Amino acid sequence: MARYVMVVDLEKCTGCQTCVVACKMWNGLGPGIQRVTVVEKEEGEYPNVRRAYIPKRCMNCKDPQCTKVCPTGATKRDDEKSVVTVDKDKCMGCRYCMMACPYNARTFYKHEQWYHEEPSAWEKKRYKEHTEGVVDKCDFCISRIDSGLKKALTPGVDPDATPMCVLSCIADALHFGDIDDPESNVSKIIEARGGFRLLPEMETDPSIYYLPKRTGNEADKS
Amino acid sequence: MKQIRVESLLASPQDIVTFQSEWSKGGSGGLLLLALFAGNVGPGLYMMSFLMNFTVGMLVGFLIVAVGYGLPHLLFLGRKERFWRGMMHPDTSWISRGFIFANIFMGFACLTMALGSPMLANMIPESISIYYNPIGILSSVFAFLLAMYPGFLFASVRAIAFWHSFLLVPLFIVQAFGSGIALLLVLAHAPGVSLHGGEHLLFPEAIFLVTSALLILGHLFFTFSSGKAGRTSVMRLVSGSFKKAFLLGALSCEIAIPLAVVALTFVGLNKSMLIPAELIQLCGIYFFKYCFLNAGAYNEICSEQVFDSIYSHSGESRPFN
Repeated sequence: MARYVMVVDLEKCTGCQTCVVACKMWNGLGPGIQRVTVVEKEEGEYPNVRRAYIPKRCMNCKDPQCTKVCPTGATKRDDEKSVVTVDKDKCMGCRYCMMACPYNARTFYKHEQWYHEEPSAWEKKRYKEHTEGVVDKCDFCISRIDSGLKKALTPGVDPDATPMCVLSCIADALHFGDIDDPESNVSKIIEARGGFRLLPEMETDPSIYYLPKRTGNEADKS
Repeated sequence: MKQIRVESLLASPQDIVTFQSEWSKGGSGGLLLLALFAGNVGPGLYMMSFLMNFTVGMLVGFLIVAVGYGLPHLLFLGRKERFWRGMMHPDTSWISRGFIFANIFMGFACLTMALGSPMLANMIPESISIYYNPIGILSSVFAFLLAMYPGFLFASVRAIAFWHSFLLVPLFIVQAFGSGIALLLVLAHAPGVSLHGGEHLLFPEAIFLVTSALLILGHLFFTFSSGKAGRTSVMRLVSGSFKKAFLLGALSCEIAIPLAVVALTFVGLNKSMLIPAELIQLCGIYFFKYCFLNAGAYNEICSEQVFDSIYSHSGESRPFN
């Protein structure tokens, strides 16, 4: 049993959206379907302003609301890896899970679309893996984790077992690993720098940790 | 010339309170609105008709549930052929429970109407027809559960502050009874239909209208004080883009006009406006459901506290100070 979590270093994130594009490319997501969003938060008036880019995706919560409300059992939590998945063969498209998700991290896959007049070769190949009329969400690229584990690779360390957004991040702002393993990269980062999670009052125990910004001296020391 | 679809991926969404759209926008949102309305009026009419021994009302209530509630729900689903899977998790999901309540209600309602039907009276032995009342009571119990469950369904959504209120449960029940009486009184005035004791329904109707008004006001107050998302939802209804639909459509039509007319009728001053007022009340309940769905807003994800957390370890509240 492992609990895979993602760590987002808000000090390093530049809001470049590479993770968004990498996710769409790897998962073959058509127009309108987006599993990752980079939320921009800005406050204050010049010269007293604060700004942050906050990448947001399904939090793959330990105690998720979506699994409870799902009437078909399509949305369920994989306790082995601590990832919430949607069984596309069971989902009936009622969208109750979308209402229940406090992070608004799910999308309804209405119908097949592509970016050009005709689907590209890549789109033809990947779009077949999607089902129309069901709900779509980030599952930490569970297919990559599964195939990596079969090859005895370590998720978060070996590229072939790591989510695509983490691999693609140009600023090394995303980290992935097993928080139950005290020697994992994510455990060490969280131990060193703390971190917080979004909407703790919802008591869903989300699996994405955000690292706060540091002063220049603290950052230089690291 | 080739067309290329362009998405605004690079435009980062600003963190603001966002309204849910999957259950309110477009054709599918309209279907859900219709189902929510019919799921309230149909059981209400059935229960009141059974109480008044009004067979026409029971039949119409049953048909409203079967056609107005069941069919739009089915059409709303993304994968309609899998509708039967909707009853798989009654242990945790209110959609599953509602699905089961609706089916059991329809089964018992069919039996009740068959046992009470004058056309079938000669074909049904007396040893079976004596079960009319017990089965009718059972069907009414499930009609009550059917009218009540959307209140629990919405109240269980913690992500949307405007829906996360247990005042919705009594509100949906009261609206079901109120709309049931309204439609029953309208049906009673149809040619060839007779209802005994219809005048006795005016007092309970007035009680339901007043209770409904108090519950709506309580719900608005409760959600307004629950946080930014709740406040935004309430403001959308009372001063935002849904102001007319809510104040004129919902509050005036559902509460104020019917209450005034019922009060006048009750004291015997004006009876001619009763039927139009009952129809207006039904429109008002429809508008309320419309506003209710459209006012659902998700809680702000990156609140002020989150922003403070981002800068908490930096030792500076303003980076450029």
